[in-house]
Amino acid sequence: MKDIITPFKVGVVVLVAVGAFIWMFGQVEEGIGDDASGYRVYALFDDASGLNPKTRVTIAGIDVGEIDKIELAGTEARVWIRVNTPLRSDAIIAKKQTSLLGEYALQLSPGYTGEPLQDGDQIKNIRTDVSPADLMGDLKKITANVTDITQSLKSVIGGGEGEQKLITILENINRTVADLQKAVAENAPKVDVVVDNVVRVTEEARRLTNEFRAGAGRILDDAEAVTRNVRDIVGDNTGVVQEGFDGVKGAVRRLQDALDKLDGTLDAAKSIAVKIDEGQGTIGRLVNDDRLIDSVNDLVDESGSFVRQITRLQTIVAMRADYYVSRGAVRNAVDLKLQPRPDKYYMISLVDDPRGSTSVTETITNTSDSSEDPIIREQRTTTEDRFRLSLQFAKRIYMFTGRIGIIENTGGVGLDAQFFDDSLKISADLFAFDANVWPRLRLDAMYTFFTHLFIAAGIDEVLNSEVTDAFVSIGLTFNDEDLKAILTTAPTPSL
Amino acid sequence: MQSIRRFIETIGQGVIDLIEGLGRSAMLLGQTLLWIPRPPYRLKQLFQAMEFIGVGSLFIVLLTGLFTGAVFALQGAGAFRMFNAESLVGSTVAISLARELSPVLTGLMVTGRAGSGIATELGTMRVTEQIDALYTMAVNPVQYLIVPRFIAGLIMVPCLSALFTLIGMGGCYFVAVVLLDIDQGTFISQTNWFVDPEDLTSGVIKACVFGGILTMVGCYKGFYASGGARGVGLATTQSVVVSSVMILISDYFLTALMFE
Repeated sequence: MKDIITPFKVGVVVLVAVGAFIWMFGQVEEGIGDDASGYRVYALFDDASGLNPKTRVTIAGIDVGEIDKIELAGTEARVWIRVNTPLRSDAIIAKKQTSLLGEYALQLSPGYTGEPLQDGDQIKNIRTDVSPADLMGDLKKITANVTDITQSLKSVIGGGEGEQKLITILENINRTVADLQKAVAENAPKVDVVVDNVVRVTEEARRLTNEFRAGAGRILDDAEAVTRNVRDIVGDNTGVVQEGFDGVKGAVRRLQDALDKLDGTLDAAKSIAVKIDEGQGTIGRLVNDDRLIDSVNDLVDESGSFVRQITRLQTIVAMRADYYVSRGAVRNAVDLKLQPRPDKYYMISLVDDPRGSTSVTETITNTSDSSEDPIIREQRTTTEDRFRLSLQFAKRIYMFTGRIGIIENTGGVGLDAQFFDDSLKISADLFAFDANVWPRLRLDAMYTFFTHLFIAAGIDEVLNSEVTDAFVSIGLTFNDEDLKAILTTAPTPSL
Repeated sequence: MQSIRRFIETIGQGVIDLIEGLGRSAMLLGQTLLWIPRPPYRLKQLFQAMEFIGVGSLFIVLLTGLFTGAVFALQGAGAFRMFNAESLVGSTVAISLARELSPVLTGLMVTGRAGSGIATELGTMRVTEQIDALYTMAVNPVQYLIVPRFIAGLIMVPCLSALFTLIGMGGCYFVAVVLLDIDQGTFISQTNWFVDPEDLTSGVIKACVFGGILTMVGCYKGFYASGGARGVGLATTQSVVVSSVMILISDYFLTALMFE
């Protein structure tokens, strides 16, 4: 039995301890900062003193988050908060002091009309609360002002001199009041006269009003007489009025005719409208047949596609000069790249190669002259300095571009690899398969800078070691936009 | 001249003893760690050690925890009342208990009760040659005597520390809410808000380390006791003193490691 009791007691203690730990862990783990649904936004404060990680963030006094991190952003404090409630871009955040101990909390207004804030966004509206320190500062200023006023007052009325000044002021007031009483007493009869005059003016105004009322009666009588006279005149000229009515009657008849004609016109218009609505006639078919508008839409779409293709075509011109180190000669080339799509282009190149075009001519002469060899073989190598032409089609897949076509008057292929936003290009050209023992392989690394300039270096004739040569290059590239700018701003030559 | 030589000899002997002690304790710890995974697993010995360290120390630990939380609440409330911030009492005491007070005081209590007991028991076995008898019976005394106690310390002291925190918070709640009439909702919400799970886990980790220290020191002192009954008493005293000092010193370094 004792063997069982010992493990049992130990087990009970361990179970109770583990349960207590898990319960406490669960209690303290309910913080919003550990809420997986929360997200982080930040605000820039001029002064983040009093704010600390885990400081509460509230809306209407309800905890909705806490400060996650505070970091320095220039001269301001970037305060990251983690909240679990939706916020909008017009949200307002304010730092509020919650106790005299200097404890602060952040108060949020979530915003109503702006865009919803996402994780990592900024709350731009900051309200700065007035802290007790600010209040104490203001109070200090007010106290200083009150002190100044008190000092001034004291200097004015304090002491014997101030008392004397006050007595003088009181004496002046007394004297002024006495003078006022005296003036009133002296001017009392004059005031009576003024009042009498006012009474007389009032009576005169009343009399004038009465007279006007009588005149108004006479004016009405005159108006009545004028009306009577007008009636008499109208009665004497009834025939004239009748003629006027006849004229009006004729006008009404003509108006009726015009309305009849208008009815006819409207009937005709109605008939036409019915025919159009039923799809009769040319206009009816135009209006009711959808095939026409579909055809027009197709035409517009195709036109737009064509125009887009034309406008999308980009022209890039590149000029480069290659200096061959061993040979000490310069190779010049002009490339015209026509690029209808970003991943496809055609390239026409004109190359002035110092090696020119080499041709070998062998002449065999038979002679009967015994003093000479019977057969004379003459081998003549001719090198012509002439331009070479390249015409290539290129297709780009990701960072690699493959080229195929005519390269310097011979068939050939090429491969480009572009890096760093196409600023660095490594190329390999393989062409002139029958010119030497091995075809001509040219490797080239080109770096473009300042948009229009590039430098390059490479090795030509890699496979044919007897003529292998290194080269360095410099060149200039510009596109159709640059051409437009040049052509519009360049002066036009005139005869 | 003779006395100066004796003085220097004494200092030198002290240094030698110190280094020898360090070496022995390190070797004992190494042997213990090596013997832990090796069979036979002596579960009976382990449970007896757990009962002795954990169940036996439960009452004193809970009593200490209850009154520690209560007295901290009483003192804290008086201090916070001056700033009208009594609501912070719960969170302050909770953080103190979880991080520091529970593991340290539990470690000290278990040292006083169980660590000394281990040193006495092993010391007695040493001076009565029972440990030598184990050798003659082909039983490794490290595996038989020290490993179960060491594992029991690692397991039971964190358990006791967790219970210390819980009962301490109970005492704090009673004093703050019932006696001092601090708002219950504020007390609980502030406590939940300010205490992090990391506070609790750090306390448990500390308690685990302290459990290892106090059992190893007790075992070491008892295992290498000599000099009869007096030597056993000396080993017991030394184990309590050394364990307590080591717990407090290691607490500083553990705190610096976990919170800095």
